[in-house]
Amino acid sequence: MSLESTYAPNVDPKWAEAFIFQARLREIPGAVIGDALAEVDAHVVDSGESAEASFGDPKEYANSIAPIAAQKTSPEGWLAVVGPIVAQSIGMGLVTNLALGLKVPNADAEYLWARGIVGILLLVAGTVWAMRTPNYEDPIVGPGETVKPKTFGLVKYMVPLATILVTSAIWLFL
Amino acid sequence: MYYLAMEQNYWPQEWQRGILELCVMRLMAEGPTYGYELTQRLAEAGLGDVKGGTLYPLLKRLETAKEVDIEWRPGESGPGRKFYQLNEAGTARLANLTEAWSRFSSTISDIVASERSLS
Repeated sequence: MSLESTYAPNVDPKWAEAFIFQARLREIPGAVIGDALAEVDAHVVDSGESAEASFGDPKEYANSIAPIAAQKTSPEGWLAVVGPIVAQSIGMGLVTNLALGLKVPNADAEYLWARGIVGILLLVAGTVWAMRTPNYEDPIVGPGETVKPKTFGLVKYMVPLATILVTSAIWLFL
Repeated sequence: MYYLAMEQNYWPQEWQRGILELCVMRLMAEGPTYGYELTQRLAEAGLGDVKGGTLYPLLKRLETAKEVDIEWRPGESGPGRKFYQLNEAGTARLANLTEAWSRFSSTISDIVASERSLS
């Protein structure tokens, strides 16, 4: 079933679709979109008027709700997405550098290990941070419905996995 | 200027927009109500045809401002309805608005009624 027919079965699907599209563009949260659709649905049933007649252009209706309900991603939100990747990437650099450096004759092993350990800590910290950050999902839900935020995502483990692969490859084949 | 066409009352649409919030809050003070019922009661009161596209964003603003309590109730046969009721914060602002409105309207009446000689 489409979103339109699930949350606004009595509304012209074209109207509902255009509303959802514009609401998504304006970053209106999914729960607010579902709520608004259910309200439009009830109104057209009660009034017997079309959504277009009561609410006007769907794009403009979404635009009129957006300044009230839209939630831009906060700086903290961005940090929680970008921070783990940056920490993991620096960690990967330091750990692979350790693996490579140890292959070089007369390398300063102590210095390499010190940096390597920092790298491992950064990898672990970045991954734990990523695991605690909910995935960015914002599904449309109707009134009273709730969704449990998911935190598992393979992308969060890509950098540590790549680090293990690259380090093993360096160790085994160089 | 754009005028609302009604049986008896004609006034600029901007006036309605400016005062709609006070009217809606006043109706809500009487108990839980929902969007369509509000449009009916506003029409009965003589305010004319208030469109969903005007009313619901206003309701959303009241909800975001936490001046109303929300309850979804299942419809008798059709879809569920979202009921709004003024809470404590809303009631307090309604009192302020009501007081401000009576001052505003009497001020405007004085200005309009005052006779000026255009000598």
